[in-house]
Amino acid sequence: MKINRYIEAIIVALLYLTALYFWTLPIQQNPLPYGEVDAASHYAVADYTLSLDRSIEILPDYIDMRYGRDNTFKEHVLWYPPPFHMGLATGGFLGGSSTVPVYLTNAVFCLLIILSVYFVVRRLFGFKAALLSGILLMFSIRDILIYIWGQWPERMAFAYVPLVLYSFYQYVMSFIKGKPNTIYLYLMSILLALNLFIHPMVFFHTLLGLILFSLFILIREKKIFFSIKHMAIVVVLFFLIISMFPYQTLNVLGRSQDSGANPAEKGDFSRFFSWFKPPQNNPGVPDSYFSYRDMIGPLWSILFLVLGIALLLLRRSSKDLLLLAWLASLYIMIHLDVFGTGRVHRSLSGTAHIFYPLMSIGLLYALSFLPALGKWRGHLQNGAIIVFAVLLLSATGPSAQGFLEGAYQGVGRINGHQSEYTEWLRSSDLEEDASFVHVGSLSLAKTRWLWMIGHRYHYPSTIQAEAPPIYTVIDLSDFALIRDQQSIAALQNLELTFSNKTAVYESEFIRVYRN
Amino acid sequence: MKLALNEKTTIGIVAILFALFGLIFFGMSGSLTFLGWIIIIIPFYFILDTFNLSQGEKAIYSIFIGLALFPALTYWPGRLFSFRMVVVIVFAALSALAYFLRKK
Repeated sequence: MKINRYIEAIIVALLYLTALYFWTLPIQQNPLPYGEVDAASHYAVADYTLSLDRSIEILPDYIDMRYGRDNTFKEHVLWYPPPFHMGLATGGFLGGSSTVPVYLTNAVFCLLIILSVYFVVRRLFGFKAALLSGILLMFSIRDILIYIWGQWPERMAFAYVPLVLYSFYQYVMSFIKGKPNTIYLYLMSILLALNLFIHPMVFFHTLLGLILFSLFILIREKKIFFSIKHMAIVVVLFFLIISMFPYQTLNVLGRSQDSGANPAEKGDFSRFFSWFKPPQNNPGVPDSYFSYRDMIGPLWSILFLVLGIALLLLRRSSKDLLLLAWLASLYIMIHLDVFGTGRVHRSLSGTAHIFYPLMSIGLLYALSFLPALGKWRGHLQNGAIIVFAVLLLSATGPSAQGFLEGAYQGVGRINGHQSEYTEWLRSSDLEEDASFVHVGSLSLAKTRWLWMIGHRYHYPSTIQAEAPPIYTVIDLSDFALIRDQQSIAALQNLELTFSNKTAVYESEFIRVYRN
Repeated sequence: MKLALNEKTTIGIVAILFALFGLIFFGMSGSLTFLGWIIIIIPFYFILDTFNLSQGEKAIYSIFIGLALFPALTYWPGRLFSFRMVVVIVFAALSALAYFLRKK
């Protein structure tokens, strides 16, 4: 299908904006920060950078209380390579606030997968397959869940996988044709280093994809398909870039040796015969997270997925081998637990990125068998693609929209009273290393948000602290919102023990006392 | 008046679409966030313009390199100077580099 490249650019922009509309629903409904504890940590680094107007190297006390030992190479230092969080902070600076612009920037980052998959599929398999893949990815439920929970860098990093593979593919193809185009190799090197900065686990996905594609090409061509000199430059460039942040890079490389695998799965070779088997010990995600039907699409869509894979296996052109290498690398990454290593349920979240393009290719392959009907053939093809998209999206779209619309609404995220309290706290002159026990916390994540936005260490009263707290936060606000009179009465009763003290902070539902 | 689509008008249309989207759903703050990022990416696009790449490749590489490399470049200067000032200076330096490479 011929399409004007400028019109195509506008179509892609509209696709991306549509995705942005849906993925920013949680912040459109309520502009306060949200997410699980991981989200709070990522937000905290960007927020502190903005409030200090300086990049962070040594962690401030309140972040250090939780993440001070996460950098195993150098403790009390920023544990993640800075680009992702500096990106969020840059977004905050551009939009003039540390809430909505930071979340918008995060949505832009997390949706990059649509652009990279669109681009790579477009270049290798055409406009229709690319557009269909992009549309389906917009409502990839597993991506959405991880995005709203807060594993943000991982979402962004997965977007680099297809682009790095594509860059290497372009170099290899140019080399085989006898006119090596090294710019692709240099771009690959830069993107690979950025991939490592953004999320180390995903970097290993990319690396494995590159290795497998190289093996496939080597087997087919039976000769070396790169120049040693070019490769040496690439390696030097890669190490030069990753040396920008030595403490963090050495930390992430060191920590990549840590096994996050479930020991129960080690040696379970039956795992190789399924794409993913739900683990015996749930890593803290709903059971539906492991379901193809709930996350990817109806079971009939597997037919097109298999067709897509079959086509690539039968044809085995270079571009087919590239996609197969990507698929095989993902398969290996999500079966590493059989060998007692890997963070396989996190790797699983890369599934839709390759499954949807394969389905789209499978569908187009099936449609290629349509009899020659003149100009009607094209219309029939387009009609079938639209029907496929509508059927698949009617299964995933409503759930996806539901997850986004309902994300941390109500008492699921900090409320207006808590937001006012944290705003006061961060600008107060209370000791920066003080600890606050949060009485009335509905969840660890909610207390974590008070902690990270208030710039003071808070912990819920349900956990045992190592040292007695300096301040007690009596927080009735959530119970008031859900009209839980019994819990309110219990907290008011507890507050009587502070009757001889003056609150250092007092609002309608939140009081803070020095112990 | 007939609008001729070319590289510059397409970038302009895309920028306007993003700015309007931001304005409608998030007000001026949203609009500035999106526009700001587009402006940050543009020097990367023009730097890549000096290489033998297709327009689509230049666009996609500039987005993926720009969104991660730009923040990376602000980190170390941001240890010493105002982060906000550093964002502006790094952008100015990249723009100057793009200008120099295109003039060469």
